[in-house]
Amino acid sequence: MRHPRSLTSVAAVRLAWGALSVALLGTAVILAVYDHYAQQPPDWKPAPPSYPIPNGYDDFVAAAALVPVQPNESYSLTEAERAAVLARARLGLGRVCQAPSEGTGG
Amino acid sequence: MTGLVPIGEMLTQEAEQFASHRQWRRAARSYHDALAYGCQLRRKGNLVATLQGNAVQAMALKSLASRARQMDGEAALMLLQVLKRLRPVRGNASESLQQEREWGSRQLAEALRERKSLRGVLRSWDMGFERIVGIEWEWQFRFQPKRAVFQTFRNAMEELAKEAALPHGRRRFGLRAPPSDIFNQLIVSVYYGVANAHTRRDAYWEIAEAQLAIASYSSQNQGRLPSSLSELVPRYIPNAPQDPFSTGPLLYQPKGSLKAPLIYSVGMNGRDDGGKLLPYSGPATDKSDLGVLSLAPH
Repeated sequence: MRHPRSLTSVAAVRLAWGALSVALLGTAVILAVYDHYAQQPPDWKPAPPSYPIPNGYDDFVAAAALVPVQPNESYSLTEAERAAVLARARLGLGRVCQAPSEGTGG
Repeated sequence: MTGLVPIGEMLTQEAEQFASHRQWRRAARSYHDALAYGCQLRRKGNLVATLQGNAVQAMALKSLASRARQMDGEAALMLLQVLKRLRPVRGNASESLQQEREWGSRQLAEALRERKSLRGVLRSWDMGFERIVGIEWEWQFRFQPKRAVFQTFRNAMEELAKEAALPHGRRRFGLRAPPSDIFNQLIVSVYYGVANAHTRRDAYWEIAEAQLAIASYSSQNQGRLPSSLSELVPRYIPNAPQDPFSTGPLLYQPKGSLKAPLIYSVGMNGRDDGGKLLPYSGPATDKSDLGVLSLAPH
């Protein structure tokens, strides 16, 4: 014959487990829903950038590529190399110039 | 640093070389090219491009201001015209911050669409945060609603751009209220110094103009120096040069510490420290003014 107190205890424990499971499940669902909401990317869409053709900035970058900058930020060029760098940069000065709005830009 | 700034440096060095041989017309062309390059380099670019352009402009302006006394009147007038022509395209802080806002928005939106974490975005912007942003912040980054972070970035940058358009004395250093999320707290603080960097450039611009105007005045008045900068108006410059760091004009000592005309701005502290300039181009201290020492005439 079962003891009535034991029955009550078992039922209480079951009830507690059930409640805890529901609470955990509920929390997990809430967290999942919140995470889904939090991870929504912005729906902002930029206008595609339009660059002048030719773009003087490309000449600057090409001229910069001719300068071998050392990690300590020093550089050394012969007169002829220097003249070539400046000539290429000046080509860009005569054109419409627009720095990139994509990538690192630097 | 890429090779972009050294090109500006080379153009300025070329100008100085011509100037040392008194080839003023060629020197003027090189100074023009250096300044035009500094203006072009930053056009519609992000903060990196802006800072590169500003660095080139400041380099050329300092050289120009220091050598103005050596120039003949014609070269000085020619260069005054150059500065006048380039002034509208030199760029300003508000515009730079707006450009950075658009650049940053684009980067952030793309990264978030690619499901990149905010921590990853911070790392890719290469602003030095990767050293301080620890893994313990991952949860904060994870649960911050991305759309809200994005909108906060845009709003904060808009506010900074508006602030930057105000005169130096009326500007607030930073935002009215700090952003609520850790991502923007870190990122936006990077932009607090942009307005002051531009004000420094503006001060060098005004000083170079004033030094050139004095050189023109002096060559047309048998070497005499003006007793005040208002004597230069309107023949050489349309208005007395204003100090962008104060509400008054630039300060002028006809016989500065080196018996040369000294024109200076009060600098960041907003106080006249008697024309005490830093001997190197480092950050302004609390007890210094901002100016350029003139080289003696040949």
